[in-house]
Amino acid sequence: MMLPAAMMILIVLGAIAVDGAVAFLGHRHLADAAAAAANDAAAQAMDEPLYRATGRFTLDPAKALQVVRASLIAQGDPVAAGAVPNLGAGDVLITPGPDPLHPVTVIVTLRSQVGFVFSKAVPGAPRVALVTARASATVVLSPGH
Amino acid sequence: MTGGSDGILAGVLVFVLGGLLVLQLWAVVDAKQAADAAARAGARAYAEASTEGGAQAAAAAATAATLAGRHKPPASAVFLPPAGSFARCQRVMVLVQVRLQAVHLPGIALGPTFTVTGRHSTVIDPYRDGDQLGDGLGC
Repeated sequence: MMLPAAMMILIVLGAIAVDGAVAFLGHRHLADAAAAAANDAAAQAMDEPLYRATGRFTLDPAKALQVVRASLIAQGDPVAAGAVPNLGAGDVLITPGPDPLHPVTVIVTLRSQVGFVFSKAVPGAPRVALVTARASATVVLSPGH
Repeated sequence: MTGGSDGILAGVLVFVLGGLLVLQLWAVVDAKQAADAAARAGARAYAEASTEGGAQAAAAAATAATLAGRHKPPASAVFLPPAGSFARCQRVMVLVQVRLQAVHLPGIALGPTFTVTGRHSTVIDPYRDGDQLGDGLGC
């Protein structure tokens, strides 16, 4: 009687551990993807017409959103790609930087889902974990740019 | 041996196996994190280098240093795109493959090996300086 109970407990705990690890890794992947997307947006989304006209450096919000989308798809990770449909203009924020050599900071917020492995087999248990990650990147200009 | 001691023996075995399962699971998670971190460091080093040869070397060094810092053995690293396309706007993908043995405990590694892959992608800054850098697609 004790052995089947112990085996059952072991299997359930193992399943919880596996699903927990899958959700944890999914969250880490999303955090990495957010960092990469913020970095790509800071590097690629410069508002070039404004810079040429006024000499002021800032990022183009529409271009930044487009770059973030492209970056998430390029990561080749299903959790990162799963954040693309949830991505809105408010998830890519462009804020002023602390000084003229760091003129802009871009903050990217991502929401995605990680599919569980074993919880699907339990009626009423969640099938996915919702994960959120936020990362920022600051543009650094060379002196005398 | 009495029935009671049989049960205790079986129980101990079950929980030892359970402990091994959890440790192995953690080893996989740890290896995956190390591979991801190494790929990220490699991609950044590659994107920030000034020449293609230097980029490969810097990325390989960054990858190895990151793995060493996490007490992981050297792993194979693949840099995409292939040689000859080191240019502004070019997307760089680094894949790092860490080999892990089926039973991986502190001080003990047994059984067949399998591979855990970490990847990271970034873009070479379109506005960066460097006379040797060309302009890639999308610039």
